[in-house]
Amino acid sequence: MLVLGIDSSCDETTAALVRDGTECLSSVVATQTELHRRFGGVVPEIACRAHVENYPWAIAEALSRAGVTLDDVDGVAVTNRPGLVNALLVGVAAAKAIAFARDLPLVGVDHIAAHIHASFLAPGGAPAFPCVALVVSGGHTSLYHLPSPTEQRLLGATLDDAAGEAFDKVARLLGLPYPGGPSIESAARGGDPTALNLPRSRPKGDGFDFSFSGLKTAVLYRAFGQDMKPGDAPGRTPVVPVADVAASFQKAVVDVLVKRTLQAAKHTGVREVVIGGGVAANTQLRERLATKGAAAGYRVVIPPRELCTDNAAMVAVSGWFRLAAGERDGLDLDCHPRPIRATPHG
Amino acid sequence: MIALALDTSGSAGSVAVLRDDEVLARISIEAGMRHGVELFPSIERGLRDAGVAARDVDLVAVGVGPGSYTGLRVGVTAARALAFATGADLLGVTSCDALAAAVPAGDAPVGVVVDARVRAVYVATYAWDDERGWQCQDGPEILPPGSAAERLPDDAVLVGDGAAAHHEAFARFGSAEAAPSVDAVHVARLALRRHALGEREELDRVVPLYLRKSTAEMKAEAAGR
Repeated sequence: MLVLGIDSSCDETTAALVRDGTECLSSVVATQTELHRRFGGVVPEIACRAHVENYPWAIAEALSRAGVTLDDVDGVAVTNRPGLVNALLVGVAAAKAIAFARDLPLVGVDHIAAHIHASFLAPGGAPAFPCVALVVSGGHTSLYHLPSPTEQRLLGATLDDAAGEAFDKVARLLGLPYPGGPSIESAARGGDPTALNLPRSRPKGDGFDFSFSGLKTAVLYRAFGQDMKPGDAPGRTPVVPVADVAASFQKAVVDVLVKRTLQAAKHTGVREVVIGGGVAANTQLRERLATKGAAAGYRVVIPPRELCTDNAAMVAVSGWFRLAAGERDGLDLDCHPRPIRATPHG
Repeated sequence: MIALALDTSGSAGSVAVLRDDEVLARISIEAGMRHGVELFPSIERGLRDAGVAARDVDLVAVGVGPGSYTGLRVGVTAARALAFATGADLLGVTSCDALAAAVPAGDAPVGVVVDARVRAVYVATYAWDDERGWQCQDGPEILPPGSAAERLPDDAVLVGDGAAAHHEAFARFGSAEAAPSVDAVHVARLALRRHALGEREELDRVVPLYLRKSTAEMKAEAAGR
């Protein structure tokens, strides 16, 4: 079954073709990073306008790169939650048009579930179930227990900033360009990750929640001095070298993510650990989770970097599960800002 | 020549299916601001009522605004992707042209005034041409209601929902005998006429007519960034 995937949930206009949920024929990402850079973050109205201009080009490009036509497509999968609703609406309108005009089945897909399903396209092969999955990006930091590929039980999530958001905010403090993930990673090279004593905060309770807002404030005080206000930091030189600040911050985030993920794996008794989302493109996180996970006896499944950041191949995989099960959504498919399945501590 | 027209520029949208000059189906979308949900079921119903399959459509016509940003994005993206998937031609029609087209022929100029919210209106002026119908003379522009009223000829008759929404600014003008919201039938007719004259548009050139940059860009420019 050849599935056309579409995702416009944030600032990337995407389309992809995946066969049987495992073979990625093409994955097109029309990136808008340059449009948003001068604002230091994603501007929803600018993202929405760019999405309109990028469809149906992204779909045509995905078909062309895959060497197929719409005649070869068996179903359409589109992200309809969670995300910027006005951005989601654009991809959903394009998906409905293709499905309606070609009389193809249409299914809506949860963007978070899709980040987990990107692991089905990992070079080492799909994960086995049950497993634990960490989805970590600019908008989400959540841990799930997956008894099967299509059941996600939320174990914990960030109570404040997402990890990727913390990268963006710390990058802004240090005067590093948006997006913060790649620029912190690059600035951290050669830096001393032990230079700053930063907290590894753990929210109260026995769940698997995260908190990153205190870490950002700690970076501000340790790097610029106790009397510094967040708005005053950009443009000033920190009292500690930028490389050391970046390396220390990155290590603090990675420590917490790896530790909590492996705790969740132990708690649920699974043998496999999956990671997805834009922050999963971070080299330190990939290497540390792979090493620590393997040492603890887990098989760690890490998708290629380009399938960790937003893409539509993961959406095509996610949609394939629903399509193959005979599920269909109507042409009245709606968009939602939040995930639907949010069972806390399931 | 089968035309499928859609307009989602306002809270009330519509879909029309025409065979040349004959209206085969017309669907009103009382969507509020839920075009994302209502548009495709309405297109499906319109084509079914008309007895036409999506692959039989020769021309997709879409109202490109000015109007509700979200509505325009849903409508324009839908139209572009429909044209791509069916191979039909695509033409964009401004909502002002479509509103003016609903007004009977007359000597007095027509002022199209559409509520843009945030204390502003979209405004355009039209004059009658015996061969080509209502022709745009000025606009469309986005202006505060008072400035828009000053832009209009004194003898203009108005169409659109802007005069009622900003009554104090437009009280001195008469009203045209036409519906205050865009009818996709007029979008279809205007597009069919241009198509018959040989006009074609690349898919990528059919984009929403926002008339304004995003708030973030306007603020950045005002701050000299």
